[in-house]
Amino acid sequence: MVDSPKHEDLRNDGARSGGPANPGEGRSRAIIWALALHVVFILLFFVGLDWWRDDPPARRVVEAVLIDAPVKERATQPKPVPAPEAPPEKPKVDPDKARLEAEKRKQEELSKAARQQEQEKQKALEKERAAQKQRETEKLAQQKREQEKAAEAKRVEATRKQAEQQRLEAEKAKQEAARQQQAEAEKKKREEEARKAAEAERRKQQELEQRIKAQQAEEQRLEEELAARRAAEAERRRQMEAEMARELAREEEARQAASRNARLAPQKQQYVDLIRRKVQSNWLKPVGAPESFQCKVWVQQIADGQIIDVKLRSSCGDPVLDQSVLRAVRKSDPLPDPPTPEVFEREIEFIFKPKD
Amino acid sequence: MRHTPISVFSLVTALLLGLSSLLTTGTAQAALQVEITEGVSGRIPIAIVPFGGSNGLPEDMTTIINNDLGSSGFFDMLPRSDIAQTPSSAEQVNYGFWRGVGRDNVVIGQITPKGAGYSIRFDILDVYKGAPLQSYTIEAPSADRLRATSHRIADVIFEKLTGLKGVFSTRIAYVKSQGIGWNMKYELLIADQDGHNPRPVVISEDTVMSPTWSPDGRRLAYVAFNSGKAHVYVLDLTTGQARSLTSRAGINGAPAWSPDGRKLAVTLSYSGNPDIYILDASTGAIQQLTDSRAIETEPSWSPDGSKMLFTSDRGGNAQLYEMSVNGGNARRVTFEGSSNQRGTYSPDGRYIAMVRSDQGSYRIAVMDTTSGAIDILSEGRLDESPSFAPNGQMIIYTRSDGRRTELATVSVDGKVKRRLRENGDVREPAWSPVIP
Repeated sequence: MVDSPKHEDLRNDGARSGGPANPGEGRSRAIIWALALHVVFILLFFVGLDWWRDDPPARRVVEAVLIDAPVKERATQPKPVPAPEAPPEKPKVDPDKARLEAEKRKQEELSKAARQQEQEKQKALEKERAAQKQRETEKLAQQKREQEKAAEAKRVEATRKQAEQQRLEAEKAKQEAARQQQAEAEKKKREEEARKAAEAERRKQQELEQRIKAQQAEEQRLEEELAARRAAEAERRRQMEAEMARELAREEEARQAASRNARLAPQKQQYVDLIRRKVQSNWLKPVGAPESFQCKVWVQQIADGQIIDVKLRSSCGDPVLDQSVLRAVRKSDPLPDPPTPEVFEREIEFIFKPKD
Repeated sequence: MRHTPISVFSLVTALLLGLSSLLTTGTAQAALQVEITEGVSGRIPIAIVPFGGSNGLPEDMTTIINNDLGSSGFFDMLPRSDIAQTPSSAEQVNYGFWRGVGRDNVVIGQITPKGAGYSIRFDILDVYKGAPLQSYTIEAPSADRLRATSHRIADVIFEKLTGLKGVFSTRIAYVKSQGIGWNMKYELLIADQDGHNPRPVVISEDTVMSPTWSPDGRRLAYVAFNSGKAHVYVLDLTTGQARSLTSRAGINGAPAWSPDGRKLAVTLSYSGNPDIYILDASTGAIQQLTDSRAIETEPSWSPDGSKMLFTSDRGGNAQLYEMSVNGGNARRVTFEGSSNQRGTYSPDGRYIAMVRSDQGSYRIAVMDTTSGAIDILSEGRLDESPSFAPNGQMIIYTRSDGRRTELATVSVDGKVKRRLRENGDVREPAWSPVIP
């Protein structure tokens, strides 16, 4: 839902408008339409006034205001009409010039008659000359026709000869072309065969190369595999050896710890006794407690024996007993110092286990 | 097979590693282990801080609770004069102070008037944990219930800290005699276990003796003389009606309820010699249990209802014997001292309280039936009538200084004794069961 329908509508509008190359053209057209519309509105307004003549005047005022504003705005737009040009001035008449003109016209008429006479005379003469010439021309034409006839025969013969010549030449050219075409085809065939042979050779060569390459790759792969296997085996062996070494070290450490423990055993026992004595003296055993039960209290202490955490690890099976053992431990805070710091333990587990 | 040598190598290594890791985890120790096999026996150090809002109340609740807990032998009460801080809510508690005065537990509380009575909220604090162990709210519907409410609070504290049933809301029944000569008056009284609020349920000009509570606490059996004859009566405490079950010739005495409350063991001598009989509480039918030429009296039913303990002089002097309620041979229970009488089983059946006479002095003693060991609890010289509290942790008895007799309680370890002062001679106390 990326596009809102509104967007699409807008696009469609644009498409429908035919997409004018010049947006200004559309705009001016729109302005014209707007103006026309306004004119219609104004007309309607006036007509409307006629229609609404019965309505109260106040309402008319409101309507007028609503419509008036855009009209005013448009009114400033049309350009002023240009003023029409003044008509050209008529020329004035001169009397002297008119007289001279009349004279001139009269003389012209006289010379015109003389010229006409002369022309008729000339015409008759010419007519005679023309008849003479006609006769001479016809004689010449006859001669010329005969000459032309001879020339024509001569020309036809020449043409025939030329055509024969041309035919022969065309035949020759045709033969030549056929010969050339054949030569061309043969050449092409030879070339094709050569190309095919070369291709086959190239392919053969390629296959050979590929085979060699594949072989080489296989050899390489095998080699690498072998190397990897050897490396893995070496690594495994190395790890095992390291683990064994660590194990040996651990065992050694444990042996040392054991010997240290053995050495510190008396001090440790002393420490345990000190703690036990203090907690036992603080354990107010509830009256009526069962003769045998067992519960565990876990304690965390810091270096000065201060108890920082006490937890009942397993219940004695009775809330009053549980309270009593927890209180015994809490009352023993701080726990006694160890005879030597080496036997200090941060965590102590008390096992309350009365014996009969 | 190129891989074979490696496989063998890795197999061996894996085996070695597995074995050694098993060994190391087996020997690893998380913490220093300290075994605690014994503790100390002693009283729980506690302080009852006077409750907030207790000024002007008709009862001193703090004193009542202190006396109750103190008398039980389980608590070491901090004297009021040492209580320098009086917090009434957990937030006001300075635990360091209470550790300083050696308290394991402290009880604080606040009393608020509510309607015609009061609402009491109290907290039991764990001083070493530094936090309340538990908080409670209890209501006293009226001012005259403040005393009973105090006993209830003592019960709650006792139960929370000892895990045993508190008995501070129980009662005692006892006989009191006043006057001299023809003006003697006998009263059978019921009072709170601390001796307060005594009220007579039987008043007689003739002797009244041996009251004993039915297991449900609704009836009292007792012996009273009427027109020179002894009767064993059963008094219904809800109706106040007393009914005579037997008034045969001779002795009709020492009633003891069976644990199911349907029968009474009594001593009758109508056949000539005092013997133990079992009496049906509803029909009055009797069944003879002992038949000897010696005196057999003071029967006590074992809590499981299977055995009868009684005093007999069949061995020459008075000693305790035990036999099956179905008859058969009696087994002598006590051997030491010149005499042992008035035997009674503890509620758990393990102990027997008795009056031991030795070198002219009568004392209250307790015998552990599993070991046979006997503890002397009282000083004497004329201590009598032991009766176990229903939780078995205290014994009420009478003591006498030669001029007058009074009631006293002693903790079963013999360490705490309390005297219940009363005017007149008081005898034969009987501790009630816990009445729900």
